[in-house]
Amino acid sequence: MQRRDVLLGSAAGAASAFLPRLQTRAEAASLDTLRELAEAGPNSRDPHGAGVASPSLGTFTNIYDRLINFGHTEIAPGIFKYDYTKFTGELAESFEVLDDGKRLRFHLRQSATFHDGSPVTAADVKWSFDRGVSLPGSKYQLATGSLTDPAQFVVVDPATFEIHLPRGDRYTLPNLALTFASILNSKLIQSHATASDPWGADWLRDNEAGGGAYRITNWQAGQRVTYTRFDDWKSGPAPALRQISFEVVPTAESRVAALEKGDADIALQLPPQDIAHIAADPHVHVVSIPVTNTFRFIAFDTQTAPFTDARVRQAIAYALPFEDILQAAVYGHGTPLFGAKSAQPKNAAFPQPYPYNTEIARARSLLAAAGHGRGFSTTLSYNVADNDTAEPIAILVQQALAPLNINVQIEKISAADWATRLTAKTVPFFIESSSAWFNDPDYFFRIFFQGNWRWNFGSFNNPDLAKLLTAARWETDPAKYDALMEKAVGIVFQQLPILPLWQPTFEAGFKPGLTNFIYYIHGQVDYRPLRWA
Amino acid sequence: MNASLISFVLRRVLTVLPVLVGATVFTFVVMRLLPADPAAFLASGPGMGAADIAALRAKLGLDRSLPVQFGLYAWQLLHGDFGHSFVTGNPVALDLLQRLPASLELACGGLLIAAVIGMPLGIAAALRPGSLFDTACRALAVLGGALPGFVIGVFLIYLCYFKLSWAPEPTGQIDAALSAPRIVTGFLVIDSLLAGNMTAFASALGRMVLPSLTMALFALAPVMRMTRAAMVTALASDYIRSSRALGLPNRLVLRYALENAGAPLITMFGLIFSYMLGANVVVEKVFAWPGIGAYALDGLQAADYSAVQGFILVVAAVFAAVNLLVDLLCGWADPRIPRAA
Repeated sequence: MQRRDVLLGSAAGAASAFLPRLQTRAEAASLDTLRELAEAGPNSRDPHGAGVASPSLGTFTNIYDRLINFGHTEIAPGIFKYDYTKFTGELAESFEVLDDGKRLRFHLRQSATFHDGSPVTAADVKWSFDRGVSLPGSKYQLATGSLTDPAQFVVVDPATFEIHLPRGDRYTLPNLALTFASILNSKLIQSHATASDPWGADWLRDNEAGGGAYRITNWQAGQRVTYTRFDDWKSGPAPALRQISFEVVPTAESRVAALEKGDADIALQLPPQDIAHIAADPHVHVVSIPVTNTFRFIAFDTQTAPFTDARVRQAIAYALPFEDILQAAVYGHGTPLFGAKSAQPKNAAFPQPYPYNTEIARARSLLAAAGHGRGFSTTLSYNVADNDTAEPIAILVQQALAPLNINVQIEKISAADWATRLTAKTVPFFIESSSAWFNDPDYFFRIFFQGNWRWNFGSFNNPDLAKLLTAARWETDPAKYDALMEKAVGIVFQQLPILPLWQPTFEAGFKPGLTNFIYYIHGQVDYRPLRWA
Repeated sequence: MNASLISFVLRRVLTVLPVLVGATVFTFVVMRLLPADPAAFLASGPGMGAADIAALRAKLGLDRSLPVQFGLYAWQLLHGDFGHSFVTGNPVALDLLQRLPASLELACGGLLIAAVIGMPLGIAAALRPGSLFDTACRALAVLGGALPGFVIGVFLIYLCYFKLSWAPEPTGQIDAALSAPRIVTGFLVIDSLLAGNMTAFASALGRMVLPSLTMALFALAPVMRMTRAAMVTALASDYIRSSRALGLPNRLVLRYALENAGAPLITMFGLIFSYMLGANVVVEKVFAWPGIGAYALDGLQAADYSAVQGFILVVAAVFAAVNLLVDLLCGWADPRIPRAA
């Protein structure tokens, strides 16, 4: 056989296999499976791990139980949103708040087992919390709910567990419903712990040890994860879906194509420019939910000139074409955080629209008052990984500031370097987005407007604000709390360490018929309640 | 296999060692010249501060001096430990072992299609240099080379999958609902055949077509141009003129010319293959192909030192292997070429 014949022969083979139409997911669909496509995949099975990617939060939700879960409210037919003022039992059949909230008592489901068949006991629950408050990936979050010390976690009897708190804290219960409070199989993990790794962190990253509604039956990092229902799950109504295939498809166009063809049941991270077109497709149901705990903003380093002067920050805010930026960057798919009519906060909520609009004359006079009437040069930075959204913002900001003689250089920083630069505070003026786990304004403020850490993006340091936040932390009278926080919102309105632009929208495409979706803070899919209509 | 061939291969393998050592040192140093701090990247959890970043640095061994870090890394490498990737959470060696065959499979598929289309076109163009056909081929090649892989890939998906339903879904190597065949070669098309699983074979082959075609369009221009050039040279040579003068049939003349153009073509295929392996990141991303290019890019974005270093080392090894193979094939195609180490 000639060399060329070999080549031609195999090419013909390839063509013939290509032509017959393969059976699509739409034809093979059954009522107890689900296929989900996402931009990136989970990288850990350890709910207390460091460097955990956000898709892992979905994994934790489905493979582990918490003592309690958030309640939820219906926002559209078959679509629900978590309600973090309400809680329902999960692994705990019931719970009691005792001694003015200083003692929380949980009654565990007696029949609950882990995936390996061993019973879930209060000792496992205690060990899981001991682990959570010891490892750096989880301990700071749990500390926001006064959960800090293993001595707080008490085994009363194998089916009763208590948490003791120095004082009643409204953030304790919400923290217990987060993935950081997942209940782990302590014996299984301990059997893999070593002297240098007493909490078995190296092992748990690559293995699961839980008793949640789903088991992982296939894990190909960065490619796909297969979840199979754990039929002995006792912590809620039996899930309708037997098997879920979660697949990583990095390109949005490919995810959308599979969704519209009916080959995928859920596609996450839809590109904003295509939403209108996808929503018009009768084969797809687009779910849009405003995200209340995330916001997009421009930050000023208030410790670096010329941004040390609040008037400079305000001048920039008055110069920006907010509406154009919202349209150009996310095609209007966001809740505006600009354009409030009054400089007085409307209420104590945060984030809420800031009182800034495009008013060039005002911008000019503020700049002149700050001694920068002739303008200045600065650098506006953003993360390359954030390019799709941040680049249009950067260009519009650059254009808008040019008439004020503010010469803006745009600097794209590599994704790897971005965290380093923000931690070291070496970017004076930048575009970023961030989230907090809870919506209470004082919680937001403590993360974003104080402290010597990365999340204080404006490096803001204001003693008046600090006093208000300290007072609000333990205030139990709603009227007094609101009064304190309205003052705090007034301070950041005026001082403007960061300039919020909008809150994003969670957008996912579903195959019609998929129902009972509950949206959670983390934007990942909880498979347990989902079902086909 | 004769003794001289074995000694040739052994000598060549030995010359590869300094290359691999050089690649190891180079990537190690370059990764650390980058300003990114992996510990700051990892400390993304709520509230993690300076103390935790320092602790993470210590855990990753980044608090030690560079020579000590390199010594430890080299020692691990010698024991087959490429380190741990924090993007995937897996050992780098395992990731690369799973992903390298996927990339090789795609590069082979692309090269095959480029050869099947490009070589006949190149030969035909060489037979009529300067003709309209020759110019049309050149225009086609330029067009294929000028369109970015992303555009071609997305266009092919839109046309062949979305509109016409000719191609299967462009996500990965095989339908996730099928059980993948037992891994023997790592090439799913071959493994499914070996397992006699024709459903898996059809799925794997079907999913190869669009990404391979995208890769092929990119390689088509060099294949066509080089084939044409090699054939023009061969056809202009004295022995072809003599054969023609002797009245040998055209088919035979063409065959002699092809055999003489073989060595430069094999060299070219080696070069293109190596290039495709390193440059198919975009195709891997568009088709959700689990290859090493996409892996290295994700690693680079996350300051994942071990993953990027492992990738460069593996690619260097593959380049060396391809070069060796090219030399052996050239010797086979053209016995006049001496085997020099």
